[in-house]
Amino acid sequence: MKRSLLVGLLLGGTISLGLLWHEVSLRECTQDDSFISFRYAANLAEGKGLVFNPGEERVEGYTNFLWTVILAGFIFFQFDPVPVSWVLGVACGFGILWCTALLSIRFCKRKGWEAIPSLALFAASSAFAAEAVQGLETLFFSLLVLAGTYALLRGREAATGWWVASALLFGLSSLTRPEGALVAFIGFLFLLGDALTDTYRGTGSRSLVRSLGRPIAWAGIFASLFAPYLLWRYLYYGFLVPNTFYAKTGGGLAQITRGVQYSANFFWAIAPVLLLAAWFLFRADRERKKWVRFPVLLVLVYTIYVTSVGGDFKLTFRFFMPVLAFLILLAQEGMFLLAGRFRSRSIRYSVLAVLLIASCGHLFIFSQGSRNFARGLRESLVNKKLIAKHLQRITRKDDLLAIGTVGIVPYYTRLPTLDMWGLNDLHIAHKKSPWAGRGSAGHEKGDGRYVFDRRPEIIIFRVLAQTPIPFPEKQVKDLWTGMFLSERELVQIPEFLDRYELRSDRLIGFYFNYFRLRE
Amino acid sequence: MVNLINVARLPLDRFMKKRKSSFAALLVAGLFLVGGCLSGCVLLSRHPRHLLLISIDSLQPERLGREWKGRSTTPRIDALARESTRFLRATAPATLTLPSITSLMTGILPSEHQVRFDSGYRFSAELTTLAGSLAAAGFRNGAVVGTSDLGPMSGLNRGFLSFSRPPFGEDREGQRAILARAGEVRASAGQVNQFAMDWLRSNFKEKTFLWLHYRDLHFPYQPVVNSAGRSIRADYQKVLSSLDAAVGRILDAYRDLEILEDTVVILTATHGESLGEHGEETHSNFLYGSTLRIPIFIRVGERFREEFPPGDVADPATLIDIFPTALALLGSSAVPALAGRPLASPAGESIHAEERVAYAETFGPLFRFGWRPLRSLESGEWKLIRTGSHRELYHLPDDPGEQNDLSSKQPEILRELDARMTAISGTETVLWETGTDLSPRQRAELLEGMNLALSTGDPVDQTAAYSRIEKILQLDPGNFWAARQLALRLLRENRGEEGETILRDVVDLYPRLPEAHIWMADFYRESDRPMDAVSESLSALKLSPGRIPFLLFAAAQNSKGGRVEEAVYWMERAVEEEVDSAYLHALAGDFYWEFLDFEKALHHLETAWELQPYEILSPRMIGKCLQHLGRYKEAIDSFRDVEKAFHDMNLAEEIGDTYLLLDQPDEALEEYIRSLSPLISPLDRGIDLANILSSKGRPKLALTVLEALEAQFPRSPEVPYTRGEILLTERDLEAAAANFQHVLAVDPDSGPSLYNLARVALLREDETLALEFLEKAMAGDDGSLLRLLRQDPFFFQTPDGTPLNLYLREILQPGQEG
Repeated sequence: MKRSLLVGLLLGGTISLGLLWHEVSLRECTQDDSFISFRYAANLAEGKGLVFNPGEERVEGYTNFLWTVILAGFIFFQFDPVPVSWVLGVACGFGILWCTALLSIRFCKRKGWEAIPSLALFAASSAFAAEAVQGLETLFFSLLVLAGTYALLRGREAATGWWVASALLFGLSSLTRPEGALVAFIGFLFLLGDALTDTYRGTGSRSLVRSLGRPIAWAGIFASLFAPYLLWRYLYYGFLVPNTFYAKTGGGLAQITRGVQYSANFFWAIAPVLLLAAWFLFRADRERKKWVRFPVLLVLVYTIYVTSVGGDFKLTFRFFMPVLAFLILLAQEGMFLLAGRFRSRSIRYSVLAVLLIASCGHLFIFSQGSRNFARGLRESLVNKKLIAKHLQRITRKDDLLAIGTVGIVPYYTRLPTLDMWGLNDLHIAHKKSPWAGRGSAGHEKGDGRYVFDRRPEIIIFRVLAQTPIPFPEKQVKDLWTGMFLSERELVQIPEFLDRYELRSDRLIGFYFNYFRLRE
Repeated sequence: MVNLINVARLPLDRFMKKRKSSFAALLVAGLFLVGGCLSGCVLLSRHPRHLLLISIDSLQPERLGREWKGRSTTPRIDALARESTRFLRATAPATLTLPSITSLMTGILPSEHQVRFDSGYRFSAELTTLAGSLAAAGFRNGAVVGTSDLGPMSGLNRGFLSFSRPPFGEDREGQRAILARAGEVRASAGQVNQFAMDWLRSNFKEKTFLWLHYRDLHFPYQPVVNSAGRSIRADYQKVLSSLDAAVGRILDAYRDLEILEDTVVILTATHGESLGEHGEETHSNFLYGSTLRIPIFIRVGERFREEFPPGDVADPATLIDIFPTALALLGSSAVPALAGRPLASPAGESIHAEERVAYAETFGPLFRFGWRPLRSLESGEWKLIRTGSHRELYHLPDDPGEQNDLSSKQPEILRELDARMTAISGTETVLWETGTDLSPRQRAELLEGMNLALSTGDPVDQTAAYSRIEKILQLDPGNFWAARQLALRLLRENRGEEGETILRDVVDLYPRLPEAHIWMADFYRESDRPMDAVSESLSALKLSPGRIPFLLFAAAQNSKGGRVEEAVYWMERAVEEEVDSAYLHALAGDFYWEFLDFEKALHHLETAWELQPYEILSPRMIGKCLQHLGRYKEAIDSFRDVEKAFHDMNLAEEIGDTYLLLDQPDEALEEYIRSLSPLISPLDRGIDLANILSSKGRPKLALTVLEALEAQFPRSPEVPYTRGEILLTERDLEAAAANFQHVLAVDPDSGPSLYNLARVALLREDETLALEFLEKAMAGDDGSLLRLLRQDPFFFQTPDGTPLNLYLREILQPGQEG
């Protein structure tokens, strides 16, 4: 075995173990939103359809169709989706590492061990590690985008199979998240651009029609996957975009301002990566940059998209995960470029090591928020499961539950649920909110009167769900911090406390306060 | 479609064949290998990770599963029993709680750990405990006990990371009462569960050992049931039924946290309860089966049931076997040399019945009545009970109720068991031969008389009750209990000296028994003669030097008598006896705090904090000591350390106070804001903050806060009202009145404003105007103002100090007073 391969394996193995440790240290932090998908998946596996509340109006309150369907398959075979989602997330994380190494080897013309910096940067990011174990589709989607990009770039080189594969992979990514269609569209534009350039330059001696054949065929393959899905969605749910789109948007300029802040926070968290990538883009020769057009285009368009939708409330920057690999690859190239300026081999390696350690250190330190967020989720998961088990004991199976965090508690109770934030409720999602764009993304809509009129048996206010001492009913009207729109409007309804009583039940380690319909 | 897949596969196949990709492929393969190994390690874990030990005081196993209207009264314990290995011949080594529990925790018999009674004893720190062994094996240990009798004074807290017992929290007065033997403090099973669940919530991700002790079934039964017209058995069964629900709740907690299947659950009892059998209503006086038999249920998760399946085990088992059994089940290799042995499961190798003997003893009769203690030995089918010159021998298969004494008919068996018993119990002739040598039958007769005397609830019959007690004392002149009852009665009748003489005559009969002096000391304590109590406790200490509970009692009584130096001396002696005890250091710190010696208080409190932070009686006291010593920055650090250690504790106000002492008002303000509830509205938070600042003697700062608040909420009447109150406290009467008038302009019926205007008028010596305002206030009052005034009648007073009541009488309408 060659020495470089041995060194590469040793370092690569160590880094991968580091990532695994990183992921294990953040384990059991499945996010509340993941359980929304689990609930849809469970209903599908049980033959009740891809719905949130079986028997009620269909709402598309998830944004990860393919992920949900895959989980439904596991649930059908009696697997618990929680550990399954962790295993899949971790596997996708390593898949991303693998694809990044392949891109490095193939397009950056690097040796195997030279992919170490990019792997190390991934391993140092707690945001990446946390996304792997939160039960969401983020890394699965990112892997599809990355693999699709690899296939697309390989397809440019020669073999037909690769661009077919890229169309299929982008098709699957579009089934996984709505942004997949955007990625595919950029891919199509890229292919189109290639074809037009070839014709314009006269390379390949093709006519325009023949040159356009490939992008059109590519689009056809993509459409063969995506169009039936779109049609099904429209026929099944009645809308072309998920309900979450309506629940999360509508904030105008305020929403964009929030998006700018979100993007800025992300770029600050990966500042050294960004600087090294920029260095590479500005200073590298053309030959080295031949592959970067599509990834750079993708990063730019993606940033605009994420900013325009107002970012996300999560501190793990999940919306940027699909393009993180490209930024890391560019940063890796920047490191080599910078280190390559020195002739002495030892200085070169030293510079490389310093740059890598500094970048990794920055990534690790500035993803403290992600670690805290993940640890908070772990506590929250335990408490919400306890709440769910308690609710199972004190409710009948048809009792309507109104709650904002509609993941864990509704999943474990299986109670019919009214989503007070509107992700799974058509009325609230389509209602204009005075808070739109000003609060936490996806938590700004609500309608207290509507919730009140639906007469739910149990209403849970997020801020009151867990307190160290029973919350006094007389203070309900003074509640302020942490209140969401439906909740704020509910307490302002004069007859609210006539119809509902505030109960405080002692659970394990905290009091669970909730409103129950009076007899 | 197949072609399409093939087309896609071809380049991938080619790619994989290339050498360059071997790196990535090997990497991924290696990772999956590592992942597999890690998951394998988790799955192959061979031992449970948690131990839940539930001990119930005075639980008679025969009372479990009893039906009422066709339904079991103990469904949750029954369900646990069905899933458990049940030891049908389990017995306790003592019929007193503390000796029995000490055996449970140390795995040795009372004759070895030397704890003979429920109070005044503390086992040696050199003994290995179950908690200590598990802590060494990496377990996090927590205990919640429902009685102060099992508190840290007994030493049972050793090895526990957290040990909760009543009085809970920062009840320093309660702790002092325990030192002074002022009675037992109890917690209900519900309270025990609450503490246990809080602890479990914080620790269940680690390996845990949780010990819960429920006291509810110990006489007097808790919750107190109305026993009028009901038998003691019915009362007992009712309490047992509610206790069963509590056991169910804690098991539900383990199930809800998804760790029940990874937990060894052991349910047992300290001892049984006679419930009228053999002339005894409760326990501790005899060693018959009704008080010796206990349940031992051991439940393991499904995964471990092959080794420890549910079912009945007929071999004898005792409480001391639980220690080694638990260690074996949890896979701990460090099993100390114990008298107990691991219990076999139904699937395991049966323990030869002949090899197992069950020894038990009770010193209850000696320390309560002055009667000789009892010992018993169960071996195979025979059971021997011995006290003084009396022997009883029973053949258990033929006579499970132990009614036919065969001692005269089976002399050989009697001799053999007698010899074995002596070998186990030792030859401590002093203790075994102290007290009146009464036969069990004589004792039963006397007990019946005592029960009769006690059962007299009607005050009219009290004289008859005491004449019965006098009669008992005539029949049994050395009876502590009877002498004490009479002495206390005489004390209540202001004839304390006569009572003292009666008790002294009895105590003098036991010159070598330290407890006799403690009885006398208790009487003096109740007579409010602390220095005489001290003198008696010193006599006890002469007979039993270095006994920590006696030392603490002496310290407490000296403290009560105002003899600071002596109190401190005895406290230091107690600490010297066991310098590694966080409990003793915490008590010493509390003593010095009381005597304003903050240096020494700080030394002991910091030592206690280092040894076991949970043991600090009041964790905030370290910071307060530092405050008193002028070490403000250290005080702030200390408060912050406490907040980190006790997550529920918010010491922001204390930190704010310290910042004020440091003359850093901005930091103080920040802390005061942190001390407020985050849930209330910004307006309410601001008002609360202003009130805090005012109460801290910073009215200017409070007024600045209100000013800022007014800019944000210009129409709110709360702001001028609060400002008025602060100005009134500062005696700026004019400005205060202006603010209250401002409130009235917005809300003319504001009772509190009218009331405060009345106060202003009074301070200006304008009584007529004051009365006018007060009448207006009362006219519009919905009752709340009246309630407020009643709670604090001296709050509102005339300039010459006449209390408010005078005014109330003038303005209240007839009937309103009720």
